[in-house]
Amino acid sequence: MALSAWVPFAGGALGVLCSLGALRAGRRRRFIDDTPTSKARGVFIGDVELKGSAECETPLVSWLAGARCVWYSWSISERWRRVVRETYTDEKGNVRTRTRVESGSTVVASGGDAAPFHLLDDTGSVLVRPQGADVEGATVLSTTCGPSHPLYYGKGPALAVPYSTFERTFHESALPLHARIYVIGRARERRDVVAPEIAHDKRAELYLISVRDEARISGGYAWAYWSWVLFGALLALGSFFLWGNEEPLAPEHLAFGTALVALGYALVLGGGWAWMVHNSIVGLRERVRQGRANIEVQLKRRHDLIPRLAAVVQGLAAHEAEVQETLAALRAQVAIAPGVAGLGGGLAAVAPRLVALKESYPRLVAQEGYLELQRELSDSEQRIALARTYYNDIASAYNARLLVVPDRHAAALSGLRAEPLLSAEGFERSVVEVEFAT
Amino acid sequence: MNPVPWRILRAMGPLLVALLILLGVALVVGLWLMGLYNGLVRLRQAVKNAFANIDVQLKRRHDLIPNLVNTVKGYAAHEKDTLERVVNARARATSATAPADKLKAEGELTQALGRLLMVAESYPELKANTNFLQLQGELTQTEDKIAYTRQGYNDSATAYNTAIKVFPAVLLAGMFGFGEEPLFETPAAEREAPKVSF
Repeated sequence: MALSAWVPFAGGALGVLCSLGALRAGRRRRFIDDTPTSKARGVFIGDVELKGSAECETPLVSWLAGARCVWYSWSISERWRRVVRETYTDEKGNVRTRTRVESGSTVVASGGDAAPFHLLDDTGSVLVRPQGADVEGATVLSTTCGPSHPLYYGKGPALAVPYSTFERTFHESALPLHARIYVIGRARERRDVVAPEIAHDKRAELYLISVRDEARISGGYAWAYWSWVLFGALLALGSFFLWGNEEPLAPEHLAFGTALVALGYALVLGGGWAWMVHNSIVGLRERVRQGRANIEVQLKRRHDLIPRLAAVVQGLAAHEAEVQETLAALRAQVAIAPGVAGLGGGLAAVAPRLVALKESYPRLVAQEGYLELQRELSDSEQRIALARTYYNDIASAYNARLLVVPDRHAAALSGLRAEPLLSAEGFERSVVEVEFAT
Repeated sequence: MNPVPWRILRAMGPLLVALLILLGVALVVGLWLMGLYNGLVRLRQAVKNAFANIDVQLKRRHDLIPNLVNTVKGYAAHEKDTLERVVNARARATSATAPADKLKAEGELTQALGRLLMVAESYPELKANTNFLQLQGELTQTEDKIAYTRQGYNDSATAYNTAIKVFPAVLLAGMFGFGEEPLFETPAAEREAPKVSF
């Protein structure tokens, strides 16, 4: 039976689909590689990457392993095995029967849960809502056992599947509490408090929460990229070769055709690659500009906030000074008076307080205001520094893309230029003298 | 094998078939263009919305902060005023000699002290402090909120700017009149660190 002429076409179409899959993996890998890791305090509205530990006040307890975690997913599969008798007709036209063993496993139960958690790093924490994310958990339980094991009926269903061999595989993966995790996704504003949160967003290139580290995740996408490329090539070339061999084509035609198909596939893949890389670099440049504009946001915040906070502290200090003076006067009067309790019946109730006033010196409260101002000053500067660090990181990633081969050729297609990094002024580099004597 | 569509195509002749294919291609391209255009319109609208959201927060600040400041001022004045009343009443009570005057002065003092105690249950820790600190917190949160809204604007504008610059939209965005949206900028004078001096 000759293969239909549709086979090479279908193979070619599948090859193109595979190269699309490869480009998708490549795009995600570039996205992960290009996005700098933000600190929890430096999270801004947009695409962010974070590393830290998963913390939660009310952690979940995973169903099978009972591990404290913030996310878990479990499944129980049961093995079955059956012997099938089938009738068939052999080459001589005799009807015969034969037996065949079929086996496999069926998922009999599965489930999971996710809780919003805080990603903690050395600057603070940020809320992460894992719903809708691709989560790569750590395996907390993976065991195969028989009915005698407490898990078997304890967590699994009472009914067996048909032809069961009474072997169940229990598997559970989780994001354990305090585990170091990697998150890449989009941050948005929280509704309850003034802070950002990382949550599912359909505009996101990728929303991934993983216990693997960044290098491994990136490597995984590289592996996926090359696998798709090879698989697509295999489909396109293989289908053509099969068809040409069956047809049959003359050997030189077959060789020529195969070379043509290979060239076509390389062109499709190369064109797609240039397209993907160009768009990825353009997107990166826009994110570099976003990073610079976000520094501006923090500078504006500092400009608007600090003088107001200082004014409030001044107000508080002035108020306190006046009140302290008045209190001093009151204290002097109490000291002169022969006895507070002797003043009259109406005063008896408040007398102890008045004595307390006489004896204890009011705490200087403006200090808290000054402390708050100090904290806010540091916080503002840290926010600015984190925004600047992010900018320098992403601008470096972008500038590197413009230099490395072969990306530089894709970038040259639309004349992309390097973005300057930020640097301190000369006088700002020297040690800052701390002087109190004026 | 001679299915019906095939017979229809043969009856139509090559010219008509070519026309049909052309129409089909035009339809697909037209639909794609429509999708691209609508997508860009949506993104640009999102940028405008994000910009308006900054104004919402600026308006909130404009309306809220003066009132908060006045409230704290009012409370601080009240606290000071109450203390002064106590001092004055106390002075009158100690200087009064006539029994009637003394009783009256003591009544005033009791009243004033009662008010003072209402002001600050754990006297002498002054309560205006809390209001001042609260005001500081409010100010910080307001500015944080504005900053996040501005970041949201930057994000929307970046999404839109990217969408009009990637291939193949870049070939058509100009034709459809989609220009670049500016990101947030701080005036040069406001970039310097403010000097805190008392």
